[in-house]
Order: sequence, then C-alpha cells, then structure tokens
Amino acid sequence: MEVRTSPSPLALKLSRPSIVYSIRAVNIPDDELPRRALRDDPAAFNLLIQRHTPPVYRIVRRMCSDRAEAEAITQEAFLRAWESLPRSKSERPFRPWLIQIAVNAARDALKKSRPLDFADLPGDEALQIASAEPGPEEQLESSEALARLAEAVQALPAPYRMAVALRYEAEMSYEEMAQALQLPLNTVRTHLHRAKGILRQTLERDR
Amino acid sequence: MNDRMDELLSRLPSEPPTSDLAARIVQAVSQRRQARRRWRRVGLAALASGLGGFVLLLSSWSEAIGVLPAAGSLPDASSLSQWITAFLAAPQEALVDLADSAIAWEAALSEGIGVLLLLGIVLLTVGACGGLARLLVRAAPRNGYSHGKGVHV
Repeated sequence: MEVRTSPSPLALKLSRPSIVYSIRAVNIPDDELPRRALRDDPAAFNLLIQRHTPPVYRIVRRMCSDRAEAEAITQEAFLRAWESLPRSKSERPFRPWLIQIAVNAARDALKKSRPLDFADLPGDEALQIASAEPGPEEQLESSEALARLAEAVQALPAPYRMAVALRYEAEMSYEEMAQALQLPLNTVRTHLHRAKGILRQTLERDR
Repeated sequence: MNDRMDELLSRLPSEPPTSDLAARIVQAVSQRRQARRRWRRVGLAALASGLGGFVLLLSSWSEAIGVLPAAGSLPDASSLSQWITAFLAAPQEALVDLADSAIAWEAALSEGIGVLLLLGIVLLTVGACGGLARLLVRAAPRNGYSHGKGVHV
C-alpha cells in the first residue's frame, strides 16, 4: 500500500510562483525595481515599499507632530510615487526621488492643517547663535536630554523641521536637500542654521 | 559648537513605523492598481460602445434623417409661454394636455425609428457617459491632497 505524505506548509508556500519570485527579487538593486514595476510587475513595487517604508516614515515623522499623520503622508507618498512612476526619469536614483515626493506630500498636508508662512520665520537677529561659551548642547548626554531636543525639533517652524529631517534623518547633502525642498541652496543653509539657533536657544531656556 | 549640535541631531531618537504600515501601503497601492485597471476597462468599453453606436447611426442614417422633422417638432418659446399661461389658469388641464402631446410626440418619433438607430443612440450615449466618467475620475485629486505645479508630485 502506498503511503502519501502531505507536503509541509513551507513547501506549499515555496511552490507558489509569487512567493518564489519575491524571494528572488530580494536581491535586486533598488534602481532595477522601478523598471520592473513599470513592466507591470506588482511584486517589484511592493518590494520597494517594504524597503523604503521605515526610512521614509522616520523622515516624515520628524516633520509632523502626529504618528497617524506621518503614516498617512508616508502612504500618500508611495501612492504618488506609484502614480508618477511612468513619468519619472529612470536614471534618477529612487530614494531621493521618493523623499522629494514625501516632502511634497508632507508640505501639502501641513499646508492644509496650518499654512506655512515663510514670512513668519524668525530672522538671524532674533537668534544669538554665535556664542563662544560652551552651550547647553555640551550638557546633553542622557537619552532624556536627547528626547528634550527631539521635542524642541517638533516645536520648530515646519520649514526648519523639514530641513532638520532631511539633513539628519535622511542624511542628505545640502544639494540634495535643495533639490528635495525645491529651494535655493543658500536658503536651505539658512533654514538649517536658524533651526540650530532656535534649538540652542530652547535648550538654554530649559536648562 | 554647531558640530556638537550636528552630532546630537544625528543621534535623535526616532520612532519606528508600526509593524503593519508597509503591508497597509502595499494594500493601498494594490487597490489603486485594481481601480486603475477597472477604469481602463470602463474606458475601453466606453470607446467600443461609442464606436459601435457611431457605426450603427451611420448605417441607419436614412432613418435618422426621416426622424429629424419629428424630433425637431419640440415646442418653441412662444408655445412654451402659452402653456405656462394655460398652466397658471388651469393647472390640471394643462398637465393633461402636456402628457397627451408628449405621448403623441414620442409616438411620432418611434414610428420612424428602427431598432438599429435606437441601439446606435443608446450605445453612443453609454459611450459618452463612460468616457465622461473616466475623464472626471482622472481629474479628481487623490486623498484630498492638492497637486501643485512643476515637478511637484
């Protein structure tokens, strides 16, 4: 009598073509995946989502004060990226392009909740940045103090928060930031400089 | 000093996304993909229907010309004002008269219309409605976020 054993759940899973494909796709570089997604391969774009959701979320989360809003903006960024994929330039790396889309989605969402008024941004004269004395940041060591700094970042005006998020969370160069924010290079430098000035003042005040 | 601030900002604690966020985004994109496919099918069906209707209208052109005088016998502005006056004087009688003349107009129209011409008109209308719906869906903003100008995506 022939005894037939049923296949294990893992073997069943691996026998499905989509699963086998996605296991193979894990090794495909980022720049190849958009091209595959354009050839109507849903697994390719899904893999891009899996890879880039955590970094994009962290950048967006730094820009907005609410977790739910950050998740909605992250989702909107991927939806916009998927919609615009046929119009995108294939030679441009995927990550900076996606971050630019996320920045625009965040800007739209923040504009809706509270208009970004660049005229209201404080000028250099309001900030005492150039100080020779050891600043409050010298005393920031503990995780509690870092959490205080994170709170201070959340309280920054939105354009400054975006600059901080792109510089320190996305680790972008000034040129990449200027491109993502669609601002002149010097404006980006100024925003970051002023953001740090405000943070320093806030920390001094809370000391 | 600023270097120290740079270092601190690089070390800021960051909140990880919820574990199912990527899965939710995959699902949202998949829904958008399915909706796009559905609307593509609607567009193709509308095009086919419109073309079919146009061909049927062309093939029954002689019938259509015969029907035109009946279709053109709709009330003009003066008869409309007369009807309004009659309606204000005796509403019930005016409504009965209107129903009678509408039935008579429809009967005169349907006498001249063959099945092919009627089907052609229906298909053309369905095609136009489908095409219009597809255009409106394409123009609608996504998730309430505005789309700006230039490279803004």
